Amino acid sequence: APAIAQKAHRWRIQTLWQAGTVNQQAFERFCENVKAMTDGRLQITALASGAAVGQQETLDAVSRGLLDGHHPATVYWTGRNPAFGVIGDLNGAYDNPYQAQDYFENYGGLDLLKEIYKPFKIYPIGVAWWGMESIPVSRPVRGPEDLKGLKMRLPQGMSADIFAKFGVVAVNLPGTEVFSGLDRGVIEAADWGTLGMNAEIGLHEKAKWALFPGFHSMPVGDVSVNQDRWDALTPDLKAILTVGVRDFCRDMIQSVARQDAATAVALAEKKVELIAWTPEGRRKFRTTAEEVWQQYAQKNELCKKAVDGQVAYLKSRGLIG
Amino acid sequence: MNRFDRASAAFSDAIAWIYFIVFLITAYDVAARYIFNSPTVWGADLVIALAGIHYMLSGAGALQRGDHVRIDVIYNMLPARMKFLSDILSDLIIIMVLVALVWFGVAQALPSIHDFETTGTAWNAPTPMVMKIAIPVGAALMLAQALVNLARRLRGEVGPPAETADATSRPLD
Amino acid sequence: MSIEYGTLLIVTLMVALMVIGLPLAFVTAFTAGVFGFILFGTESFFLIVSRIFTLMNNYALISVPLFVLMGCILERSGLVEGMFKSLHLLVGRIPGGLAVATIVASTIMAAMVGVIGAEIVTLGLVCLPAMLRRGYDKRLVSGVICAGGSLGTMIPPSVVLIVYGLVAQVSIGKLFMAAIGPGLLLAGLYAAYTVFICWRRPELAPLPDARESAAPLSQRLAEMRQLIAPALLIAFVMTCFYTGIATPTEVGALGTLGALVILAVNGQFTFANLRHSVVQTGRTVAMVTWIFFGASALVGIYTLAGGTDFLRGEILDLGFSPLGTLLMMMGILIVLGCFIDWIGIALLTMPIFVPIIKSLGYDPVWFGILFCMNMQLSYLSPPFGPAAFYLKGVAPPEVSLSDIFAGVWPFILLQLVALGMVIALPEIAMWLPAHTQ
Ligand code: NA
Ligand code: NA
Repeated sequence: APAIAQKAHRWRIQTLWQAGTVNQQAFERFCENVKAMTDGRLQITALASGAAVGQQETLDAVSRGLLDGHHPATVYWTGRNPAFGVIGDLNGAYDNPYQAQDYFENYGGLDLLKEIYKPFKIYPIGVAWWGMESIPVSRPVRGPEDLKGLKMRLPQGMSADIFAKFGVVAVNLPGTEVFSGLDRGVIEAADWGTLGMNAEIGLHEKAKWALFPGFHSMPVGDVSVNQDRWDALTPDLKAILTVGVRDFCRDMIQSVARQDAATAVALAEKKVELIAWTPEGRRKFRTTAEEVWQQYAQKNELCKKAVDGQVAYLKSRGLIG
Repeated sequence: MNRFDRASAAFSDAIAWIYFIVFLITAYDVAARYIFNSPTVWGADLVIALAGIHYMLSGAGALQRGDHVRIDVIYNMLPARMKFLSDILSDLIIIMVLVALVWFGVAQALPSIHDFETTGTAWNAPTPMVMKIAIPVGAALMLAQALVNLARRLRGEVGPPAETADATSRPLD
Repeated sequence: MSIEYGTLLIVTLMVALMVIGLPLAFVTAFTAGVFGFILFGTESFFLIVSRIFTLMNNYALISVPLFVLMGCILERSGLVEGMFKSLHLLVGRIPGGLAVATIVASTIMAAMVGVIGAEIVTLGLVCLPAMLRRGYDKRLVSGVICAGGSLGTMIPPSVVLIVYGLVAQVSIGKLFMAAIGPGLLLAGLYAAYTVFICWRRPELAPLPDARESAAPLSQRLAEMRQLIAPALLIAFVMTCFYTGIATPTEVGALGTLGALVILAVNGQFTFANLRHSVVQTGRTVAMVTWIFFGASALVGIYTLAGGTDFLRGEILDLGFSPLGTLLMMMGILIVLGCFIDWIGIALLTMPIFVPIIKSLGYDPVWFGILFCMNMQLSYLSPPFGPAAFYLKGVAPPEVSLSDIFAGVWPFILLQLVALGMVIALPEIAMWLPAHTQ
C-alpha cells in the first residue's frame, strides 16, 4: 500500500443528455467503471444537460474550472471556432461511427481536437458517437431529388449550406419548438437525433417517414476536462480514463444501435416507413457535401487541417473519389 | 426626481419599443413562411438577441421605480428605524450582487469578444457576443442606479420616487 | 458543509432577506452567491452570469412579452367596457347579475390574456365602480374580480403554463388543451357560488331597477355587437394554436396583431395608447425576467452541490404512497404560494417535483395543470396575494386590502374544491388533449 493515502479526486461532469436517456445511462456506467477501476481514487458525478450551467455554456464553465469536465456535442462550440464544427460533424462524410473512430484514433483526429481545445485550457480525453442521425420527414423523401422545397429545421450552418444545394428551405427553429413545429407543419423535416431519439421525443407521431439509415450527420461527443484537473492526475489514472472513454464510446454506439433497432420494429407497427437511400443517392449527397467542406476549410488553419485530414481518410477508404 | 432618475426612466421606456420590433419581426417571419414560402434565416436569432438585451438593460429602470417584486408583509410592520436599516442593508446587498455581475459579466464577455463568438447557425451573426456584452453593461447601469438610491436614502430622502403610484402604470405580471 | 446544513442555510438566509424587504430577484441571487462561495469559491459567481446568458437565449420565453403586449393593447382598446355592458343586459335579471357578468367577462378575457395583472386592473377599472354604484357588497365584488381575473392563468394562453412547459419539458400545446376543462370548471363554480349567495342574501346584490332592465329588445340586440370583436380574436388565437399555424411565440405575435386591429376598430389606435402598452410591457418583462435570473442562479448552484438529488431522495424516502406524495407536493405548493411569487416557486420546485412525478407514473401534463391551479391560488392567498394588490391599486379608498382578502376567502375554498376534483378525476383535464391529438 502507498505510504501516503491519496486524496480522492471528485469530479463533476455535465453532459448534453437528459436524465434517464440511453445515452446518459451509458455515461453513468462509464462513471461507475472509472470508480471501480481506480478503487475510488477518481469519482465522477454525471450532471444532466443544463443542470449546473446551460447546455451551450459548459465550455466556459470547464475552462474556468467551475465544472471539472463536460461531455458536449463538439459542434456546440462552432461559434467560438469554426474548426469545432468541421471536426465535430463533417456533414455527410461517414457511413458509420467506426470509420470516424478510426480517423480520430489512428489518423490524427483526436490530436487535432486537442489542438483546437488548447486555447480554452481544456483537454479532450476521448470522443464518442451516438451514431448516424436519422431524419424524420412528413412526406416521403426517397432520394436527393425529393429534397427540393422541403421545409427542414437545420440548426447548424454547414448542414444548412449543404441542404440548400438540394433546394431545401432551411427553417431556424429552436430545439424546444421542433415537436410543435412538425406537428403544425411549420417544418416537414428536422435535423434532430438518431431514430431512437427522434421517436423518444415523439417526432414520429407526426412524421410518418424516416430516412434510415441516416447519411447527413453524425456528431462527435467529446469527453473533456479542465487542463489543470487533468494535469493533477497520476499516469495510471490518466491511462484508466483514456481507456475508459474508449469503452464508453463502444458502449454508447452499441446501446444507441440497440435502441434504434428496437425503434425500427416499433415504428413499422405504427406504419412509419423507414426509407433507405440507395448507394448512388448517398454518394450524390457526399459529393455535394464535399464542395461545402472545402468552403469551410478556408475559414482558418485548423479548419483546413480538419477538412484535409478527413478527406484524405475518406479517400483512403474509397468513400469519395 | 433628479436628472439621473429622469434619464434612467426615459431610457427604460425607450428600450421597451424593442418588443414592438420583436412583434414585427415575428409576425413578418410567419408571413414570410406562409405567404412567400421562404422563412427568414435571421428571424429567430435576431428576436432572441433583441429580447435578451432588453432583459438586461431593463433592470436599472425597474430599480429606479422600485418595481422589483418584494414581500413587504413583515417589512410593513417594522418600526421606522428598523425599516430604514432594512433599506440600507437591502441597498448594500443589491450593490454586492451587481458588482459580482459586472465583474463576472466582463469575465464572460471577454473570451467571447476575443473569439468573435457567432451563433454557428446559417445566419451565423455575432449575436451571442453582443448579448454577453449586454450583461455587464446592464448590470453596471443597475449598479449606478443602486448607488443613487443608496445616496438618496442616506440623505434622508424617501427611496425611489413615488411617480408610479398610479396603479395603471405599474407592471402587470 | 453537508447538503443538509447547506439546505438549512439557504432557507434561513432566504427567509431573513425576505423579511427585510429585499427584492426577490436579489434574495435568490445573493443566497446563490453566499452558498456558492462557501462551496466553490468565487468561481460560483460565474455560474450566475452563465445562467443569465442561458435564459437570454431562451426563444420560448419571448412568448411572455408578446402575450403581455397583447394584453396591454387590449386593455387600452376599451374592449372590456363594451363586453361588460352587453353581458350586463343579458344577465341583469338573475341574482347577482352584474357579478355573474363580471365572471363571464373575465373568462372571455382570460382566453385572450395570459397575464393576471392586466386582467384584474381592467376589471377593477371597469366592473368595480359599476357594481359599487348599484349597491353591491364590496367584499363580494372584490372576491369576484380577484378570482375571475386570476382565471387568466388557467384559461389558455397562460404564461404560467408556458413557463411550466419550459421547465418540465412538456408540450405547451398539450398543456393549453388540458387547462381548458379545469379553467371552465372554475369559472362555473365561481358563477354558481355567486348566484347562490346572492339568492340567499339579496342585500349583497340589489336587483337593477325597472327602468334599467326595461331597455327595448332592439337596443339589447344592438349591444350584442360588442361581443363580436372578442369572439373573433379568441377564435383567431385558438385557431393559430390548435390547427397548426405557428409556435407559441409566434401566436403571441399574431395575437398582438389581432389586438392592434381591435384597437384600430374601436378608434383607439393612437400613439399614446401604443406607447403606453409598449412601456407597460417593458416594465412587466423587467420584473419577471429578473426574478427568473435570481431563481435560476440559485437552482444552478444548488444542483451543482447535489441539492436537487438530495431533496428528491428525501421526498421518496418518506415512503408515502404515490397519491400521498402528490398531496404533499400540493401542500408544499399551497404554503409556498402564500409567501412567494409563482415564478420563484416554479423554478425552485419543478426540477425536484417533475422527475418524481414521472417516476411515480403520473402524467406531467396533468401535474402541470395541478401546478397551474396552485399558482392561480397563490395569486389570491394572503399575505402575498398579488391579485389583491392589483385590485387595491385601482380600487376607491373605501375598499381596503382586508375587505379584498375577506372577499377572496370563499373563492379560495372553491379553488381547493376544484383542485380536489381534478386530482380525483384527471379526465377533467386530460379528456380534451386525448381527444384532439
Ligand atoms: Na389566459
Ligand atoms: Na399568495
